[in-house]
Amino acid sequence: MRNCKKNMNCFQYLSLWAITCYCFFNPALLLAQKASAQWRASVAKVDITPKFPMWMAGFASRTGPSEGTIHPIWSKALAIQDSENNTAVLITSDLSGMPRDMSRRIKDEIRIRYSLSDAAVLLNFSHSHSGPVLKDYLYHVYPLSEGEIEKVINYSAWLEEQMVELVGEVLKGLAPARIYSENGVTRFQVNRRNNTESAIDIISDMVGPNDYAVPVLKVTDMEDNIKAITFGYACHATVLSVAQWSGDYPGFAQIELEKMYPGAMAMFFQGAGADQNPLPRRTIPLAKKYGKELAAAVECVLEEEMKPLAPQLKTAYSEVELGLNEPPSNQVLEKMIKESSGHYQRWAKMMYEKVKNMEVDTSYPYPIQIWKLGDQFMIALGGEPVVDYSIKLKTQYGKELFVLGYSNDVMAYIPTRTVLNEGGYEGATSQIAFGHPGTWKPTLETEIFIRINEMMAKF
Amino acid sequence: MLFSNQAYSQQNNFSWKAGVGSVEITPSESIWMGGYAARDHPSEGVRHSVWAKALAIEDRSGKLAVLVTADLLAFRKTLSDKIRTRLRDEFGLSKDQIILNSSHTHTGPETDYARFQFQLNESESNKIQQYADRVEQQVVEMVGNAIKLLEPVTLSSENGVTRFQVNRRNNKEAQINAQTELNGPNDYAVPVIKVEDQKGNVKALLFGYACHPTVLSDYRISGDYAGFAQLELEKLYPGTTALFFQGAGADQNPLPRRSVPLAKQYGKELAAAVERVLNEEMNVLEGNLATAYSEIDLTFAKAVPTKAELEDIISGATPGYPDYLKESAKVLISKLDNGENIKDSYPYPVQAWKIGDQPIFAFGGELLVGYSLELKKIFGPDIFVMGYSNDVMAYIPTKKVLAEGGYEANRSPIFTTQWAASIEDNIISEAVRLAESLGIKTVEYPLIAP
Repeated sequence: MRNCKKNMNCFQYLSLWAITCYCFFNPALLLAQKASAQWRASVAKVDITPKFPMWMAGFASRTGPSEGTIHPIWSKALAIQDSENNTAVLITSDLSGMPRDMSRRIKDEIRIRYSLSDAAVLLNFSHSHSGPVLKDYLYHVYPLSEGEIEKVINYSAWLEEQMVELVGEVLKGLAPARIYSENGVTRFQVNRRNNTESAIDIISDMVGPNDYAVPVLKVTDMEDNIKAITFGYACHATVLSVAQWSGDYPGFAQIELEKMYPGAMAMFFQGAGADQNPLPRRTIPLAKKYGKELAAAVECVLEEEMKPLAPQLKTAYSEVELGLNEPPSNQVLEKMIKESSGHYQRWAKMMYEKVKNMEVDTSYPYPIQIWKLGDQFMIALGGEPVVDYSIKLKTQYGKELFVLGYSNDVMAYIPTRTVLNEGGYEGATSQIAFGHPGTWKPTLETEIFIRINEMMAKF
Repeated sequence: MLFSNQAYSQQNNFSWKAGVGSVEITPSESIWMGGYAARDHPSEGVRHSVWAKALAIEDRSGKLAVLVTADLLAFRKTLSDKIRTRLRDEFGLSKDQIILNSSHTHTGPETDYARFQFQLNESESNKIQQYADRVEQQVVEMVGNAIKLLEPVTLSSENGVTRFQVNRRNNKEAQINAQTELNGPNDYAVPVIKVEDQKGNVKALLFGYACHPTVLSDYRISGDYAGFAQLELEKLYPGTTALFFQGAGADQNPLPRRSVPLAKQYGKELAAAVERVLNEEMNVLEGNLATAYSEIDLTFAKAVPTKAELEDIISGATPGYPDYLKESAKVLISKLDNGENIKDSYPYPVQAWKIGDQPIFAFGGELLVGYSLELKKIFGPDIFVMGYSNDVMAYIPTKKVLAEGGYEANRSPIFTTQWAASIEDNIISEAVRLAESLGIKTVEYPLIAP
């Protein structure tokens, strides 16, 4: 049973950083400062494609384990270090998400081995629905045999070690670098709550809200060779539901960019794309098309002028305890156990036991992470945040802001109060898929924003 | 593999013949560019070559049709009529057998001598006339070559999708980066026809999109996003000729815009949409071709202007007309001075083709997206709709847009008046009449929802 930490110090991981003002008045020091005032950066990647057939994560409708590979899936790391040696590592993975415990183990091990705090390590998941199921993650969604669970456990242990070692490897390669940021645009995502997928071919006016932004970080060496292209988009990676491993459209986008920019590593991060689908979908040519469209948007950003980021890094991490409503009554659960099937039935059985043993969660520690590179903010949220989080954050903090969802712990959909009020999958029934007892308390949006505002005030 | 071999051999009877032509129409010298009234001097160099391209198709019975596409702002009536007259005289092609579609690039050379006769000095306006003559000659020769090169092919069609266009009437360009929802109507379709030779090589790719090629507004000659899309497809499919046609994109802009990387991005997005269509199963077309063409007299909301009214516009006594419309007034006055009338109607070209079971509708003018959407309600989402075909005389608003007013609504070929409110009904009913004559079926909507 999860051990909920209440009242934790939300800034315990805030790494402190300050400009030394006096140097601006000392010419000799200023020169010395300038010579060393640069970023250092490094990239590394590891192929995390399972070597054997395994159950795939994302769709409850799949009926068996994987059958082959469309293209390899990856964990990729970008390490950056500012002129004061503040260091951070972004790890992006072609995975649907990761449960808290696993992410915790990885971050703990990274802290122990490499002295990087939680604030300095950002794990983002592309939300590809063509990656593997991970240990203790939504088991009840899939009809897993014991043999299949064992494969999941073994793969997960291997993956954890791969991701930790990846950080070790990437830190070794730190070299002088320049970092730039800018937003591009593309529009293959569709707000799936407010448009009917089956009518997509005849809809002449799509309903939002949408976030069309394609945030891009460019990392070059001192000779302006591109070393890393870090880019995002707010859209479910659900073009494909076949039984073959792939990174879905983000996988194809990364492949396309690495082809266009030999020597560069392309890494994709998922935005607040919980209610956004790539439509139409369900064919490999479409996944490739969206990958190429996204790559073209990134290429456009790279070809235009980008904002150079001063070599100043600040990071913060915090968890806010979000309240959960109680599970349905025992009568309702009993009825579900008798009358429903699949993961609804498995959830009802699980919840019935938890009620009996008084193990029902009443809240959840929700992770929020903020990075500032030069004057570029990145706000990374846990779970599957609906697009309104991104829109509202940009309203508040400017449209240049990068918003990442699916970061550090993907424990649930994160609806706004509007989406909760409207109901439907993202506000309500998805809580069953994620194994929660009830819906989120409708105060979650306020609590998330209050915490972000507190954190931003310290930057 | 076995399956695809079987599928291939089944369609291996090559019920079509096709010939492809292309000719570079890049101007050899600096020339006035079409599209933006704000430009104040001729072109300065070339971003990439611009082209005219032809796809000639012949069905099992020997019935021939030719589609010409070009990286030009417009084939206006004068040039279009000259070309079509010569195609009739030299190759026996009637108007129903020819579609001249222009991409509507705003970074292409101007071809309309008459429009600029009072605005430009003699040297510049002569260059336009010489260039138009050159294009006429090149297009006629290219069509002749395409017909000579007819060889057995397979034709297939399908619609893809991409969404870089934005309805420019109902969204504010200045706020485009802040908008979280874009208003329609839109036509996101990317119609594609694939032409494969006997060996299965892609010989030609005809594709369209409904969106102004107005990413670029500079002084370098290019095909805008449509040019970049054709280049990308010809790179992806070596040996193929990629032909872009403009759809009902009169009120659609590629947004954001105004940079070369954006033009390239949209070109690549469009190419990716076409590539996806090719990578999926396409509708193989039976070898039957049917064509129909007519011109209908569209009328105006107000009486045509008198010479006195035009003079008041030029002098400024009637306010509200920018300089480029004063130039139009001068052109009309010179007509009157030559003893010609200003006609109180305009002969508007409407055309329909049926290639196998693939309907194509082609309309003159700058067709608003509403026409494409209305026709798809009548004939289904699989039809192809072209605007900017055979003549570009004005914007062609729907009755809704006419009522709303604004840039696309306020003028007709006669700049002092809107089109008559009956414009939409007249155009759609003529399209329906042509479609019926070709056996193009209307949608049978179910009585009870499935």
